[in-house]
Amino acid sequence: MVAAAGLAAPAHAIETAEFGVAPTDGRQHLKEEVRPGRTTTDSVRVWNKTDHPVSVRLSVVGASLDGTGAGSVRLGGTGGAMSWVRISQPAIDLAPHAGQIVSFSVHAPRELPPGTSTAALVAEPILPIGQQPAAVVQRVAVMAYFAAPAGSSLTAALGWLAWVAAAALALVLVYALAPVRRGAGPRRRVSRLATLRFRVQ
Amino acid sequence: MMRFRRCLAGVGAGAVLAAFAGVGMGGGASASQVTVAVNNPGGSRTLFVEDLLGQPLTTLDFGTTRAHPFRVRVVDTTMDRSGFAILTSMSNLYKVSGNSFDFGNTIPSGNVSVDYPTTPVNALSVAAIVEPVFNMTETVTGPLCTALTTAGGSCSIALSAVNGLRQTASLTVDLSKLLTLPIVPQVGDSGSFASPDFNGIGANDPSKPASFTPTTVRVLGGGVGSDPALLTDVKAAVQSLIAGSPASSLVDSGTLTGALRSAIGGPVYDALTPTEVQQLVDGLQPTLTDFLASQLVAQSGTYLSYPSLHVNVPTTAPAGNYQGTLVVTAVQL
Repeated sequence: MVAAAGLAAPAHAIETAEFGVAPTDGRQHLKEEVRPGRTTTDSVRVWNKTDHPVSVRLSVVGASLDGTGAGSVRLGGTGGAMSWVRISQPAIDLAPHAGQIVSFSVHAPRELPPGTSTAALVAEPILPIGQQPAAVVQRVAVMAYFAAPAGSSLTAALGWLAWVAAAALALVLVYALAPVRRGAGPRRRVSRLATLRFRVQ
Repeated sequence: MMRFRRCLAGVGAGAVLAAFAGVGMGGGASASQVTVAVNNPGGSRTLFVEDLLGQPLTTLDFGTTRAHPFRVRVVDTTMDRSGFAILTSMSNLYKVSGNSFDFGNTIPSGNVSVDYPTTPVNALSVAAIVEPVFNMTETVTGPLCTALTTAGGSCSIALSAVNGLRQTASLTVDLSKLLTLPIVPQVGDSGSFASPDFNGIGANDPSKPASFTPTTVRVLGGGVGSDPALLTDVKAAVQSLIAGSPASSLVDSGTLTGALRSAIGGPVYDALTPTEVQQLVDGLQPTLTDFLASQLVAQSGTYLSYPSLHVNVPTTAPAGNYQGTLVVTAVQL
């Protein structure tokens, strides 16, 4: 899931003085085409710019663009597409001037919200054990945009197995819940479906 | 019998749920890589958080003024045309107790706020990375004209919409006209950190909730410029940059000869000697066409913001030294 990568000139990189992150394949953004109920995988590249080891933690946080113009984004919250994303390796140790490709999966829900959903993939430094907490923490984040292909359904279609199971459930419920006539003789169902049952038997 | 039937109904319902779940899991098993082809100029955007002398900011000492100005610097190096936001959040301030912190004595993050001086943002060394397009003309005379006409061509040559080599043109920064920059620096927001972050020093706070959403305050933004004057300014800058340059230095040689061949016709071109072709190329007069937004492929530049943190110390706070953590996040939009 994670492969070592050299430190070639990064493309579309967002960096601190120590480390950086960017979508792989030279892409400008993480734009994921998702389908309801399906899983997509993608990756980012993380690298160490320094001549000493750096540990970086990757996480996904809620992110929303407030629509008042470029540069207006809010981070935080647990909603949106944040819960769709799983990072294969949330903590990575980078040797001096080394980089790694870290994959993540996007599990789209069976009911997709309309439009584009967003989250942010955040990279932050992990302090060495025993080091005092920092007064200033510098992080970088890449926005991720998730949307279904234009014109496609936002709801996952049911497979044939689900339809068969639904039909079976309907029959079982009718059988089990239909009222019965109580009396001295053998019990007889009074519903038409109960009659049908006897005929089938 | 009734109990058996109810049980059967429950089993049936469970089977249906399992079947539905199975559909979801089946879908989830098929993963695919999503790739998007883009014109990639490469480049980077780097965040620096510094004191006012340009040194990395490592401490927050509010001192007796209970204010702490600092500098946020974002450096674009041949960066693609995408916006950014620099967001800050703040932990509570915890009373220092020896080598650790007294998490029972805090100054809430809501007592820390951000504001700005009268000139809150600046931009330096801004350049546009563009892919120019040229029209070219040439009026040929003398023996070369004879060669052209003999081959069935014309002595007036016109090439249109020839794609030029990528150019980096420096732009003049006028703080009163920031909208005309490729990336428009946006003044940060003022306000307090109503909800604390639990990063840094706050990570060890025993009252840290399982999940939290800290208040974020944007201290610098960058939007993709779309003002019409931007493209006018870029054209003027590129014209100044390439003034007097021959066509052969502005356009890839293969592209240029291909455009020339197309303009004068294949048979005419093929009838010319390499020397004559070179003479034609050398005589072409390039004219820069108006820029489209798509030709502005990247930019370089430095964008600065000068936020200042202020702390309002409650009268009930015990005397002592308090420390907290400022979290600065550069978001690539």
